[in-house]
Amino acid sequence: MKSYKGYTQLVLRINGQMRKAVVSPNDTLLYVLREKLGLTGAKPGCENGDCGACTVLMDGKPVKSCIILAVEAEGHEITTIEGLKDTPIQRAFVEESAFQCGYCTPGFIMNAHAMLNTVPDADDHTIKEWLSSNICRCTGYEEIKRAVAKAQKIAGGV
Amino acid sequence: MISFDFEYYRPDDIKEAAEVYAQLQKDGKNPLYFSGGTEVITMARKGTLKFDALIDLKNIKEMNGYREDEDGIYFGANMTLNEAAEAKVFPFIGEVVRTIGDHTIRNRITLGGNICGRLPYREALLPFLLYDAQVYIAGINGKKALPLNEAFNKRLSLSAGEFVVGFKVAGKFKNSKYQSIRKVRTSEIDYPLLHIASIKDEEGIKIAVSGLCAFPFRSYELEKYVNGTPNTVEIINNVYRFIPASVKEDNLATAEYRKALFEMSLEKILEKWGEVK
Repeated sequence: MKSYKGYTQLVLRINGQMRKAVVSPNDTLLYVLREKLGLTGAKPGCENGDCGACTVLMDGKPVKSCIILAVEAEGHEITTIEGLKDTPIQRAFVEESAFQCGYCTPGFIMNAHAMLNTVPDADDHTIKEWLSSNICRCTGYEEIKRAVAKAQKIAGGV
Repeated sequence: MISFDFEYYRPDDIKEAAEVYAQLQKDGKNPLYFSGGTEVITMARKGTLKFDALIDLKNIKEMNGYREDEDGIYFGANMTLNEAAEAKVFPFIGEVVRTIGDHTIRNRITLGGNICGRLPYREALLPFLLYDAQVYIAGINGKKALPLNEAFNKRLSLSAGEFVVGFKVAGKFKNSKYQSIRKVRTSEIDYPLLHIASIKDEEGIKIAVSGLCAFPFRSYELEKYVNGTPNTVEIINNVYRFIPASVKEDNLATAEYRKALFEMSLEKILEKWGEVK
C-alpha cells in the first residue's frame, strides 16, 4: 500500500518525461504542475472544478487538475498543453483566432484534443457535451466551435 | 489549495483499506475514504470538510469496472460516471448520470462517490433505487450485500469504517421502459431543481426523485397510490401526502416553484406512461 505523509519526493510522468517534485498530500496536481514543475500552461481559474481552465489529460482523458491531488497522478500519464506540438487543434485555434484574452485556451485545447482523439467524427451534440466543460469569459464560443470543426477536417475525422 | 495537512493512503484491496481506516481511528485520527475526490477536494479547499487522512480506494480492483453474471450486472463503485454512461448495459443509468456535472468532471466523479456524497442531489442513485439494486458494503468485518432501498434512507447507512464496493442490478430490468425529466434554473450544467426518474415494468410505475427535498428518495407509498389511481388530477392533488419531507427552498428556487415543476413533470411522466384517462 502506497502512503504519503508530509513532504515527499514524487515522480510523475508528464508529457512523456519522468519529473520529480517534492509534494505534500494536500498539493493539487495544478499547484504542482505550475509551482513545482514550471508548467504554467494549465491555468488556475475557479479552482472548484467548474471553469475548465486547468484541464490536462490523464491517460488521454481530460480532467480538471485543480480537483486532483498530485499524489493521485502517480502512475498515470499526464499531458499538459506544453506536451502538445503543432496538433490540428492548435493550428485551427490560431487560424480561426479562437481566443481573445487566451486564459481559457489551454483548457479548451486539451479538452478538444482529447475529444478529437477519442471521437474523431464527433457530431455537434458530442462536441457540445465535451466542450461545455470549459468556460470562456470572453464568450468566444463561435470561433472555438469553428476551430474544432476545422481541426476535425485537418485530422480527417469528418 | 487545501489549507490543512493530511496523510494519504492508497490500499490495494478491501481488507487493507478497512484495516488502515481502523488503525487510523485507533490512533485518534479522523480518516476519510475517497475515490474520485471531486466533492472531497472542493469541500476541503473551502474548509467545510476536515480530515486527518484520505484513503484512496481507486487501486482496489474489485471496485473498478462492471461485469455481468447469471444474477445480473455488477457496477464497481469506482466506475466513473462517464464509464457508467459508456457501458450502455443499462441505457437508463447512462441517461441519468450524463446529466450530472460536465463531461470532464464525469471522468472523475464515481458512482460510489456520487451516491455517498454530501450534496443533496446524488442523482446517480435514482436508477439504482428504481432497479432494486443490491449494494455491497465492506468494512473491518468483511463484505455484505444489502437491498439498496433498505440501506438508503436519506443517506446510505454506513457504519464508521465501512465503504461501498459496488452495486448489482438484476438482468430482468434490462427490458424495463424508462423516462426521466430534469429541470435546472438556467444552464444545462447545474444542480437540478428537480429530477424525476421513472421505470415501468410488470409491477407497474416506479418513481424516484432528486432535487425536490433535501435528499433523493423513492416512495413506495407514492408508487402504490399512482398505480392504484387512474385519475392524474387526483394523483397530483394528493401527491404531497407521499413525499417524505418538506419541499426544498434555497437560492435556486422557492418551494412553490419546485412544487409547480414537480407537479407538471409528474403529470408529463404519467401521461407518457399512458395513465391519463
